[in-house]
Amino acid sequence: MLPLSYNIKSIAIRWKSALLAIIGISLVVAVFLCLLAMASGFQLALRATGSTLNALVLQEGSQSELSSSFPKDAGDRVAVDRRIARGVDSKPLVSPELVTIVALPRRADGELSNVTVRGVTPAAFNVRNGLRIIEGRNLKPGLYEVVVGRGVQARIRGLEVGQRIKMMKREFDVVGVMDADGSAFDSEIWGDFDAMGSAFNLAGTENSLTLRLADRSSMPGFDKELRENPQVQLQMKSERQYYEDQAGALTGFLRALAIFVSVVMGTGAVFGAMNTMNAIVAARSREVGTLRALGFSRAIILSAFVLEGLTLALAGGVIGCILSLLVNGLQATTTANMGEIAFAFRVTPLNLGYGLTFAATMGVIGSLLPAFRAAWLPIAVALREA
Amino acid sequence: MRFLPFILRHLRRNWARTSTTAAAIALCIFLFCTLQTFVASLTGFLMQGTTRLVTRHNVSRAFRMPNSYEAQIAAVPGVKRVAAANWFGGMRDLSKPADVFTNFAIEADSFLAIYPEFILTDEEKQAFLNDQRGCIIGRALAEKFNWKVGDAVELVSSVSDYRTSAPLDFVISGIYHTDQVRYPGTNDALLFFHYKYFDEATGRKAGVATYRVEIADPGQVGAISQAIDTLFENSDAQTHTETEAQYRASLGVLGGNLVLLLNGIALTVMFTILFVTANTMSMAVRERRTEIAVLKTLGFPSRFVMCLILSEGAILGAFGAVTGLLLGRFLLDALPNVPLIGDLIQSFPRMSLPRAIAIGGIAIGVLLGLTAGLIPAVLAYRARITELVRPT
Repeated sequence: MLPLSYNIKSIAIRWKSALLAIIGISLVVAVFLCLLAMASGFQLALRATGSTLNALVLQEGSQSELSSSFPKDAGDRVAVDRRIARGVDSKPLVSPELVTIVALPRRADGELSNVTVRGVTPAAFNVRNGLRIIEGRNLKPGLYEVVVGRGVQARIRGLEVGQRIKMMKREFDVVGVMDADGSAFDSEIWGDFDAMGSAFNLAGTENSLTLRLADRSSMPGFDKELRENPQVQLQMKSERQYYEDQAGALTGFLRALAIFVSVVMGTGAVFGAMNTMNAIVAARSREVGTLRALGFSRAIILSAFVLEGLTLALAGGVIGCILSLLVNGLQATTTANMGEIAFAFRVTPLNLGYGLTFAATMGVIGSLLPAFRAAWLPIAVALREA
Repeated sequence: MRFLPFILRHLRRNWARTSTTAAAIALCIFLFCTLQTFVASLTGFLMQGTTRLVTRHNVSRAFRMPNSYEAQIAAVPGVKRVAAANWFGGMRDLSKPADVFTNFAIEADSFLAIYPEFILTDEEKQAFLNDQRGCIIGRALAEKFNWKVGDAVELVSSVSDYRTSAPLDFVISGIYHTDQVRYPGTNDALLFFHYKYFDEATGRKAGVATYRVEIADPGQVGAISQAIDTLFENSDAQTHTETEAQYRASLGVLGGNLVLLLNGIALTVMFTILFVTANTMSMAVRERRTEIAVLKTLGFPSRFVMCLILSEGAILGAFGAVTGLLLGRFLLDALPNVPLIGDLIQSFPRMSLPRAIAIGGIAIGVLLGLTAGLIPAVLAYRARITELVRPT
């Protein structure tokens, strides 16, 4: 085996050409990682929204809370089921909710943006963990008040504590700001269940029921019962599953775009790396001949050149990873559940791993042909070449 | 021109290197053109219909307006036509969300007049208008589900208010076509059916989600929008009227962000080719130091040597770009049949490469080749003969 320092020194001699190949690979890795970071960020935001402990009850066949609707008394009958866990106050952990969207002006340009508005009872804050009021106070039951998510407050005009917003024909006081730890609730406005019901002419109905099961394994049976109820057909799914489904289409699109763009770009960069490696091999053919004459086997020469390509590509991969970290935390918004959701780009360790693996693959593929050429060159010819 | 064979000979000198570089350029130009076509069809789609307004409930599009508004909107001066259109959210099987496609209940006569981008033959149009249960579908949808004219389709809505006890049943009266040159980005995976049928099936309680309003003069967008909204200011359901572009932007997944993202990628792609090509050009020139010295010794001016290297880069770039475009032409047709990527593309309006983008792609290829050749060309221009002949 040839020492690694031999490879590094030989790259250093052709540093200009090597650098161009490295930059090419790093750009490909950076684009790949940025797209993955966007998909991960969106998925993580929605994943963080749904808890594995909770279950969501919707009208059967509805894909989202917005398109689901059932009479409140049907929801109330589900809410007294014994399989539901109880909170510290020994009341069942069930949160009936009204969900709609309202078009409100964006802070940046005044264009209208769709915001999800949710009518809740105090139970909503017990069923869901990690919600904190960071400014002002929480809702008081029965009043025309709202608390606004941190994200939506930053994005939409007129949502400071103390201001009023008009929805339908009612004015609502903004009384507090809610921090939902980067989840989709950060992009929502919450008001009292009954007040919302009367303002939006939705009294007597609800869109969804979020509840905590005492035993998660009872979900499939519960779901079956709800679907088979002859009066009102409902369905139950895990809250986590629901939000992951909501993320599905967009993350799928972004992942597919990431793969398409980086495979095409990556093939281009592999050709670039191949040129560099070819030049390196050609310049050193006499050296290779000498090594072979000294008794180093073909396999060793081959692996030495592949290792060289790999080193080059990994250097590019690392630079690409560092470049992609620049977009980590970048804010973006998208539409899900028909309302806008803010999320941050997330470069996860797994993504970085994918990036480096991708770079390594490009390096190995790019150096394999030139390495074969070097290793299979007849010794006599190699020594003669200038 | 006299020296073209000389330049080509140089390019053939290291056959493998030239072809891999050209392939790298081809791939990148292909990617560039595909992304730009996508951006163009996206923005084209957003920009269509400067004489079209959309009136919806002022709270959001989750709320609906009474049917009686139509006559009042039509009476506003400057309004040419009005058509109700509701997103139906119909599915063939509610338990299979993956099967989903977009379908609308429309007032067909006026809607098709307002939206000339959905092209039907006269017979198909008449058949659709005459059949209460008729529907029209786009070509992509017809291919996806293997539907033909005359086939029956049953849909149940996923929207709670539009649920009917039995599925709505339709007969396909026609398959509409699109013209991606005149109306870029027109979706050809939609299904349209009669609003009247929908209204009766839902017990005349559903209301209207959007009124599509055609106006005579695009300059009057603001005045007419305001006039419409003022009409209903004191009623239970107030309205919000905006241009179709604004309405579409508010629906869009990512909207402007996506255009920015794709343009960012396209820019990075160009940089990547630049590095690959620059690498090749400098290697090519380094190998020929002695030859360049000979040319200069023979009396060829330095400027001539520089032009030789620059044209070599440009030819390489042009060759790569043309290959890339041919690849693009072939792949845009073949791609929808590739499993993962095909599904992705099908959810978007059909694309075809516009001429402007194709020309732009070739220009970029040539420009990148020139830029890549610039550094070695300048070095060759400056170098003195004695330096060039000295062995390294």
